[in-house]
Amino acid sequence: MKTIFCLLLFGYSVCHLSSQPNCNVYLWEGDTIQYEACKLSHNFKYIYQFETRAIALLDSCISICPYYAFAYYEKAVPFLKAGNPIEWDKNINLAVKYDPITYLGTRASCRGKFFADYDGAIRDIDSLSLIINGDIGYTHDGTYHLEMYKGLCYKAKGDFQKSIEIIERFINSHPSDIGFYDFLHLGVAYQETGNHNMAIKYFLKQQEVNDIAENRFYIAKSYLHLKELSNFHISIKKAKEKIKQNQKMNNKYHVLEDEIFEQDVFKLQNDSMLK
Amino acid sequence: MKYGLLSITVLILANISCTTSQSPALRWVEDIPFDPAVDNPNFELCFGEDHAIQYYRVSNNTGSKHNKPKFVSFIEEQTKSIKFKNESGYIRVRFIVNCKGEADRFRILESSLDNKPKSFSKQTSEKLLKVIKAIDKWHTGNNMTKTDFYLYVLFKIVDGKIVKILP
Repeated sequence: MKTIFCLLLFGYSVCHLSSQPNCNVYLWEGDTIQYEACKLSHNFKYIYQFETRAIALLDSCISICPYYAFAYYEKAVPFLKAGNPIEWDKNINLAVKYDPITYLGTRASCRGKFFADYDGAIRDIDSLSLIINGDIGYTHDGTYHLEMYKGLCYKAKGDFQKSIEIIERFINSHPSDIGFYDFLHLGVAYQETGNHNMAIKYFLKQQEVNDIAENRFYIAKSYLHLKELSNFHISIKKAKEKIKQNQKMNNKYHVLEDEIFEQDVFKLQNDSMLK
Repeated sequence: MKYGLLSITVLILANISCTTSQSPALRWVEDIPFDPAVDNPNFELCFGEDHAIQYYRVSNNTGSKHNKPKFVSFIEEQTKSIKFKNESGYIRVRFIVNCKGEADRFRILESSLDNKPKSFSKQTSEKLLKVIKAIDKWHTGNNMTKTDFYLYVLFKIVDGKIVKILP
């Protein structure tokens, strides 16, 4: 029941993150041009974002208010989902230009996730930290806190030590913001540095928060390295079971950082026989 | 009378010319209409042009995401003998997969690493296109979700090396 509630809350939060702006805010600020563009953009929710008439509607909003960031952001999204870096970048940059507080974090995580542009993502997160006093918020899909995501970007760049520093600092300072996969990534970063005891510590923590095939797989790897064969066999068996039950990382757009596949498990098993 | 007929003829011809020179309006951005100059005329969509959707709406494991390690190994194997020039940027190959897992209408988009249009050497992009075209069967999800869909493969290339294959 608790899990269902959390999932519903998470789903609601994600929907809320990508929702349309409250037009009255612009009216209260005396910005009637942006208010008019915003009112028109409410029709956008009835049109599929890839449709050319959706783009035409957003262009109409922009012609009313050339600094209406939401319209640029929504124009960028279908290109992002189609893997088009040129059109995505052109539009999201304008969204960031006109509303950096709302869209810098989004650009950061999309740069990392969709284009493996980890340096760009880190730059955006740092820029956001400079203009926000307090919490910088979450990635575009709500999976990670942006401070955690910065650590993940360093990990993807191969700078595991820096990644560990950032993620541990985040976990210690934001205990209530720890995400579904944070301990897993930290464990993998430790594993990459050869510190298997610390890696195991965090895989076991991940097991408590969200026990998926990935933490069982990576813990098996560390057990194998430490020659704890009994634990290795238990973990690898569990990883296989969890893959079969689809209790694993999954995302409809992309393969995620540290996500594993059945083939990875078989390969690790074969490697263990060779040792 | 003679001038009247001539005028009508000119108007009709002008109208035909206008009609034929206009490309049909796209249904969606990033749609790929059939181009007889480059596309396979025998490639068929199972459910028609208007029903092809984006890959991520089919299921969670379509295309390259179905078995990413296997896909990446295949690309690495196929490209290991290729000598890329010392270039950097993104090369996106976008195409349509029909419900039988066959692919066609391949299109290439090239950009710099800072997302500006750029042209790679023809040798680089054509070789990558050839590798993608060599995949004769794409994963289409389970039987319940059989459909035609748009898919892409994005190569991030740094100093002539493929450093990431997305999505």
